[in-house]
Amino acid sequence: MTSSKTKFEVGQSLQGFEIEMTVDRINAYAKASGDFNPVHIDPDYAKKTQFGGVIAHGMLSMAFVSELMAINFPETWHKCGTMKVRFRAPVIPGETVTVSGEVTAVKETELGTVVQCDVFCKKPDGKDALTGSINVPLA
Amino acid sequence: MADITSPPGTLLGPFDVTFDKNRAADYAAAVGASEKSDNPAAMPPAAIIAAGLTYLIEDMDLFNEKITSAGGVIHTTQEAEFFQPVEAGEPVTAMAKMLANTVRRGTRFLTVKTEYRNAEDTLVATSSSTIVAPA
Repeated sequence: MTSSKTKFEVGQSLQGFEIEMTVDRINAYAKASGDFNPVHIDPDYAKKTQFGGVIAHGMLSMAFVSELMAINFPETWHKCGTMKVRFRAPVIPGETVTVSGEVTAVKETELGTVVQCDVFCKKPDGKDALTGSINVPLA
Repeated sequence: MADITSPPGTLLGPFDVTFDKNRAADYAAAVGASEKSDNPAAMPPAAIIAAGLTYLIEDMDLFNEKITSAGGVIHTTQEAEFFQPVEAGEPVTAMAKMLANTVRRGTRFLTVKTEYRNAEDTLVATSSSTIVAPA
């Protein structure tokens, strides 16, 4: 875990993690978010879609990225920041995704030091499930 | 109530996106959350945005049979900006506005911007969601 005293440099990798996408996790997320789209929770329905089976919510991958930022910026991530993510490929149950990030800029602004990061959620085959860009202040 | 054909400028909401403690616990279990923060009661920012998106989808009836049988909707892009922490149980209301609704080559592109305010009417977050649907 890092803190506002941690120095961030361009090119630095964030402390990432791996996490398995399970049916239980998807169902729990549906309950928490209220998103019961059948493509996420109904195998019979999902089988007939372009995906051929149940897929995880894209917002669940985004939640993993939020967790990544909370791990690396515990003092400020919940207070303020910006994020823009693009959902590039679905994650299916049983896949373990790798959530990672890299510092792309450290900027001095009116609000203080702001760290800009590229973030990724990658599928086991290395394909991007999600890519994005996040700005988070250090204090 | 809006629908998939609602023009830019259409307002959606208000929606109550408050996370009570049980719902917050479900969210934490789903995400595997060890989300660390100086304020343990603070909700992960992405949770509030997710709840807002769910209400948008419901309000526009994007899961109806006509749309799902034509291939359903795909959430392509999500932007969010957070201005202050929100705690579990803290009342938060979302109001949204259709920013764009265009059809190109048989595909509809919707962009909806949402504002999230606490009980003091302070803006705590904004988000912008882009959703692709069959036209």
